[in-house]
Amino acid sequence: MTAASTPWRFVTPIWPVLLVLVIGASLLSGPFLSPANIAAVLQQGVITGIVALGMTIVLIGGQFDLSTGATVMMAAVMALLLNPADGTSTALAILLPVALGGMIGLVNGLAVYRAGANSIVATIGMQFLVIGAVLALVSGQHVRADNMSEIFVSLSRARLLGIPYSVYIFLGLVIALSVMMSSTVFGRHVYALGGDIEAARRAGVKVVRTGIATYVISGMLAALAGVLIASLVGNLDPTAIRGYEFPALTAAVLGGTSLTGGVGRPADTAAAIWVIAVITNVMTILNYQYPVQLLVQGVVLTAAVAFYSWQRARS
Amino acid sequence: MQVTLSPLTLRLFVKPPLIPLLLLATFVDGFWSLGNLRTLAESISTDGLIVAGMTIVMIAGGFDLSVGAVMAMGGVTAVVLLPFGIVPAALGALIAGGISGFLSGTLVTRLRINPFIATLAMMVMVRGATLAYTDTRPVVGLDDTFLALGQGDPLPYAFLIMIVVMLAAHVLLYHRPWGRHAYAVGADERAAQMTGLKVNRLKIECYMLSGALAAFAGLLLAARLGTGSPIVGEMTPLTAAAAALIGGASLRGGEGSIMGALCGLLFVGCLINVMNLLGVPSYYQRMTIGGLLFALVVVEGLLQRARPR
Repeated sequence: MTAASTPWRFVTPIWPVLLVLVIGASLLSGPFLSPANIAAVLQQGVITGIVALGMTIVLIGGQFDLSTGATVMMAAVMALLLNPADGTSTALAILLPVALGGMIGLVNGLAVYRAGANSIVATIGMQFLVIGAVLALVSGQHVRADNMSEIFVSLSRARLLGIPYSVYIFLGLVIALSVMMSSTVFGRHVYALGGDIEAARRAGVKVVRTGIATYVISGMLAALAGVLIASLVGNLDPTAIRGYEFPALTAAVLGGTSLTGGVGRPADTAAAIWVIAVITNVMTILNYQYPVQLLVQGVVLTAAVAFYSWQRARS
Repeated sequence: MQVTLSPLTLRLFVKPPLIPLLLLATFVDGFWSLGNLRTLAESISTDGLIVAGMTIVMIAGGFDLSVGAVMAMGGVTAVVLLPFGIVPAALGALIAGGISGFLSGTLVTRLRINPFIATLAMMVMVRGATLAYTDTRPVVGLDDTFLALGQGDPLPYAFLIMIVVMLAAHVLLYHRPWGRHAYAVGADERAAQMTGLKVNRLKIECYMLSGALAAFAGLLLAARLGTGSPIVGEMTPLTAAAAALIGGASLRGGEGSIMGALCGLLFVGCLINVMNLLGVPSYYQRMTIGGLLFALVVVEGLLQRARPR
């Protein structure tokens, strides 16, 4: 009996983990369950979560995208440089970074699927290329936008039922991408790509085009995450906006996305994002600083990879 | 017209274009000055240890993204242990690096985790541990012997150490059975396993070597800078990978040589040095190294594709 034939196929191990963590966190620290903190936890996951959704799709296709952290930074800086004060500039500050993120994805996709480059090293190279370019553009200085338009600010600040808009944007993306991956031809082709690229090619899947599309999606999502950061802070030190690719990768893997492709679901990644957000939140409440959080993330990633590879070896 | 180049000519003029770069550098004021050559020797010597380790790991079919973090850890460990004497400090750094390499190797072999991901996770854990231990501040408390290790006249000691390590690595790879086995494992792991090689053990040894070398490079860097900084080495895995790839190592394993890696190291080192002399801001250097690495793997991918199966 395979997992897919049971009604439990929608419940992967990450969901019970999330449930246990939420219960544990509320017992461990009183302030955890306050509405303000819950909204904070939900929002904390959004930026990394959007990046992680793109990462999940690239991973399902059997490749990696470690350039996304740099794309987040590029988009955040660019959105602020475009100074979204009125309607037109607001639209530009959202659309241009996303388009450029798509372009970065396109170049990654061409390198990986067209030229056959190793995706990890190529996208790390791209990461430094983009970070260097952005820092050179702003000479490493802070960027700020004054008089940001209300619409732009509301992207991450305005709330509906006490929950920030950005959380709804994330949820919308989770649903849209879940449908795309499970119920469209494109989605099935991506799974086919990651399962066995040669078999997919022979079955008539347009391998290069589909693969490039996964990178373009990842780049655009990362850029959107950057735009949300810009709308949240309005003033940022570009050197501080970095490293998003690692928690995103951790979340995707924790959610059960296979590092060898063909397995994974956007919704599971979202669950994993909140697992990480809860852990980070509790650690912040208990006053553990960034280095310890970094250490814990590394341990979580290693444990998750080890767990899933053990599980697959067993079945 | 078919032009045939001898391997040495190819190595020095085309892959990488080292001699053309050196000739171009002649036009840069001060490149050939003694002071600058010394700076160049210092900067490539710490990276050189790491490139040697990276090349060995890549020959055996792996990769090590943790080298930069391990370098920082090695420097911090050495400075912290310095009160007990310089020998315990050096041993401590080597052991710390070796342990981290052992963990990477175990993740790769026993748990069958993709080497890039295993060493990426190690990178984050080692970096996090080092930052947590030092509270993100550099550690100081150096003695004169240790600082003298960062000097050396006329050639920096670190440079001499790098040359010795490179020679030893060359002998290990080309003239010892262990080296032949490393190539065999990298070229075809299954075949190597079937002929009775202890594949897992050999791979773990490669990662331990790489970790120990990276940590020792951290010690030399700390001696030169006069402090053990927890944040050094962010670019190191990229520079080292670029040098190894330029030197003919392959991400698929089974290829590469120390002589090639040395040329790759000189090429990358001179490139950065020339940019420094020209006053190019560090952001552009970051861009250049990133772009170089990107281009290298694209070219490698295209070459692999063109190769008949």
